[in-house]
Order: sequence, then structure tokens, then C-alpha cells
Amino acid sequence: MRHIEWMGDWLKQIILLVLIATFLDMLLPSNAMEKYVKLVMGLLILMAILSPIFKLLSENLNLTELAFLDGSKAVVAMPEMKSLADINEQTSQLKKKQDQVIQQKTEESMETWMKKNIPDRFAMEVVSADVIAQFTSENPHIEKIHLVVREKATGASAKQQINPVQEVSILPSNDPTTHTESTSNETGQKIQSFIQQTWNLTAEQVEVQLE
Amino acid sequence: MEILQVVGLGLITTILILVVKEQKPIFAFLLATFVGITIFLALAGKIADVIRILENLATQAHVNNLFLETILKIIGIAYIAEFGAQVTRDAGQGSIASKIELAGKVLIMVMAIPIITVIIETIVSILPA
Repeated sequence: MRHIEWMGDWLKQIILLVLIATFLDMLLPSNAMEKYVKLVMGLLILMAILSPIFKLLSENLNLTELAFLDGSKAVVAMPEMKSLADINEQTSQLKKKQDQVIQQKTEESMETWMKKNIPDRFAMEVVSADVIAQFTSENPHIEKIHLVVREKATGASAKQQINPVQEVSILPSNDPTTHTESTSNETGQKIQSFIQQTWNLTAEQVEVQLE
Repeated sequence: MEILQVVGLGLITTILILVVKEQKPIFAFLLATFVGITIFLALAGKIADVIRILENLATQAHVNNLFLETILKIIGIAYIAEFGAQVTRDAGQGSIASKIELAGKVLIMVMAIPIITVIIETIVSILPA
């Protein structure tokens, strides 16, 4: 846009000079001076037309300045043309941001995947899933998965929750707390190994907590 | 000064000059010069208006000041030289009138010298050495 603006200025200058010259011709007193005045006016108009070339020659072809010429003024301070170092810095910042976004998205999608799949396979409910990933451009990896699960509130367990003390006292042999604990531990390990297999992780990286 | 006034002044002066010329030609000449100057000065105000408008237009269009200055100087030189030449020619001094005109022409050409030098320098620098 700047170029068009600048060109408009240049054209305006020429047009106005021609108009003034015509006007001057009418104002001139007589023929005696006419030839000379016309010559000088012609030179002036020629100079106005050639002014971009003069600038080009006098500014040693500084391309950045040339690109931002404005009107008859030599060079207007251009709106912060950034240096290469600045651009590089911005690039690295943007990359970092991108990595962060990728990390966040990965974590989120893994969490939702676990929340969806674990209840399907193990009759457990995911209370909270927390994935910590490290996304550097060289070595993206998952640091840790922290999972809190609890037994699915099925009809039976719901009843248990409503009246757990009675059942425990009446049927000590079929103790629900110990029973669930053992099964929970098993399920927990199952879940852990399932997650390990899914994402190819070590046992330390996966932490399953039962509620 | 309106056109009627100018024409009226001119007519009266002409009649007066015709009357006076027989007795005192020198007074006729003085009268003519004086009236000429009067009309010229009266019109100067109007010319100033025109020039002001031109200047405004030029500044709005970002015309280089150098251009406008040169143009206005040329107008001034042309007018003054013309006026002087006519007065002297009226007085019967054609040779002096032509000298005044010559001076006017030379001065106008002097105005053009910086422009011509710039253009020629540019052309020379564009052309391969």
C-alpha cells in the first residue's frame, strides 16, 4: 500500500505542476518571455517526473529505504522493520509455544482416552487422570501418568454404599472391604500394565491410585 | 480594483496624455508611467490571491518547495521585466526596452541552471561511463 500511496503522491505532484504551468502561461504578460518561461517550466516538470530516479541515485540503492520512500520527503522512518535476530527470536518463541500447545493437547487427549477406555475394560471409574509430558523438539516423551480410579458405582456397589455397615456386620465372611481391596489391587495392576503396554512406558512412569 | 475602474482610469489617462503631449511630452510620459504602476500595484493583490491558492495546492500535493519557489520567481521576473520594457518602449527607448527584456530572459535562464545541472548530472550518471 505504501508504494501506491507514494506513487499517488508522485503523480499528484506532476499533475499539479502541469496545471500550474498552464495557469502560468495564461498569467504571463506577453510573448517576449514566453519561450523562456516555457523552457524552465518544462525542465521543472521533467525534474518532477524524474524525481524517483534522482532519489534512487542519491541513496546508494539502499533497498530497505527505497522500499519505503514517501512522497517528496527522502525517507520516512519505516514502521520497525525487524532485524534478523529479532525474527529468529520470535521464531524460537513461537516454536516453544507450539511445543507447549502440542504437549497440552497430547496430555488432554490421553487423559480423555483413559477416562473413556478404562471404565470399558475394568469396570472402574476414572476419578482423575493426569498426564505429564515433556515435549522438546528433539525428544518428546511422557514423564508420568498419574491415575486415580475407583470402583464403578454399579447397582450393587451403590447399595453397599448406602448401607455398608450393616452388610459388613452381618456377613463377616464375605467382607466387602477386604474383598474389594484385593480386587482393587489386582485391577490397579491390570490397569497399570494396560497403560504401560498402550504407551510403551515403564512401571515407574505409571502410577495408579485406588480410591 | 475592478475592471471598470481599470478601464476608466486607462481611458482618462489616455485622454489626458493626448492633451498634455502637445505641450509637455515629459509629463505625458510620467503620467503614463504612474498610471501604469498604479494599475500594476492594484492588480498585485489579485495576483497574490492566485499565487496563494497555487501555493496551497502545491503544499497539499507535496510538491517540492524548490519547484514552486522557482515558478513564482519566474512569474515575478517576467512581470517586472515586461512592465519595465513597456514603459521604456512607450518613452521611445526601444533599445533600452530590449535590454530590460534581455535581462529578464537571462535571469529566468539563471533560475533554470540548477535544474539543468541536476538533470544533466543524472543523465551522465545513468549512462555507462
